[in-house]
Amino acid sequence: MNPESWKFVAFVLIFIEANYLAYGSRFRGAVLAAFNTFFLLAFMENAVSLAFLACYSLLVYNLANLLRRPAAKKSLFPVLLFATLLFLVVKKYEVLSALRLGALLDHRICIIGFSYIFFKHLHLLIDSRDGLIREVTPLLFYNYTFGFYTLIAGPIQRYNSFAAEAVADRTAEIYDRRFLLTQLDRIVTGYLKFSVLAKILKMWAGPFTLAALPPGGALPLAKFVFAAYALYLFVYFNFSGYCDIVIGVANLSGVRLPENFAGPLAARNQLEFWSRWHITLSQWLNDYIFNPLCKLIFSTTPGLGILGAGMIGYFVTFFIAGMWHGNTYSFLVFGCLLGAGVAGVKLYEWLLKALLTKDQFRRYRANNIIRYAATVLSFNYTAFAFIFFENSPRTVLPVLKGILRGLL
Amino acid sequence: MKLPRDKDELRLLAWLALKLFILYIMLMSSLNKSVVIYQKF
Repeated sequence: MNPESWKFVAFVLIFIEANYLAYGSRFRGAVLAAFNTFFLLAFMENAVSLAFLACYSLLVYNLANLLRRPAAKKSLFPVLLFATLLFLVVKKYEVLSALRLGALLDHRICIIGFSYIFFKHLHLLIDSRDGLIREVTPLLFYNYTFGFYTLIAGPIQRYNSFAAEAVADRTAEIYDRRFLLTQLDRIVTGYLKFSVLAKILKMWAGPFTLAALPPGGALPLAKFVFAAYALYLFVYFNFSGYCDIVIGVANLSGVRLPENFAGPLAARNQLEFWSRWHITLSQWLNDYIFNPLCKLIFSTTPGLGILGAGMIGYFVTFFIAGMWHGNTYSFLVFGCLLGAGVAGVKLYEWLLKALLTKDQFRRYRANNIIRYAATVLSFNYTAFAFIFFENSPRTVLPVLKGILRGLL
Repeated sequence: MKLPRDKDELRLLAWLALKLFILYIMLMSSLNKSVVIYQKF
């Protein structure tokens, strides 16, 4: 069900109407579950995928409840390891072939949005073990896992926030005309970004596809830069537009979803970029990868110091972030670039603090010329990294070689 | 639904109508082929 299709628009309109009727009653959760099921089935490729997803979700639900028991708390690590291996197999990560596990990739399971489901489930398991989630009920778990707002993309909501929204009373808000107009405006703006701007940019990024490249990958520098910018902006408008649509629809049905973008194009550096781009993913990575990893590095190898632990922590975290986005080797490069970008910023910040006095550092941060230059640099770095979001290194490297040859 | 009397609401409504019009025109043009990145996830 494409977000641009009449089926999707009709689905959303019928859902909002049904939600208005059920709002405040005990049937609200059941109505949402029915619509979630319909939406999920619309994306299901085959019966094997559906059967796998049902078994997998049932397992996670039981494990989340089991891990709250003191005797089972130590079982978290093997559970997470198994879940991660399962994720790599289901998403058919190419890296498994290199590890001579290619036979595991020969299956028919194909679940759109499984990356999001996987991260939501890891959070559920870890927070259940830590006692941060008190109770996981079947209906809430089902709606949380398969919530159509965020099934295929969008913000990664936390379970407790979802559970609070499920019982929140926003009657006054959803019947307010101004609120209704504001949300409709957000949805239409989202569609303009998703269906108009993103598509135009995708066409402009055209030279950056294997089919459109001239033989030998010769692409003039100006075209290369233009295509790279267009590709980066395409991803931004496509994803942030989709988020606007789902957040607007959720608001109309009396559910608040977390915001996912806060002007990432104006980020001063890669560290700031990740506090403005796919914010819920960054927060997830911070809570479940960066913080535990830094603690582990610091406790096992204190000689590395805060800077060393932080740099390794940032690199690994954003390398994983890159890898999470796709199953090919391109995402390995994408992850390396993201990781190197953030770790590099951390190192640069440390150097500045070591070389400058507090007052000089404060003035450096406040200097507008430096800020603009840093923003331009960060924009270019991100655009370069995003080339690998859509292209394989085999496509990009000959182009880069050709450009370098032309420059030298 | 009655037209709002509030100026802000009227402005919002006008913007919404304009955006919908642009969206309609663009979707009816050559931009009708869907491009979705979520299929990667």
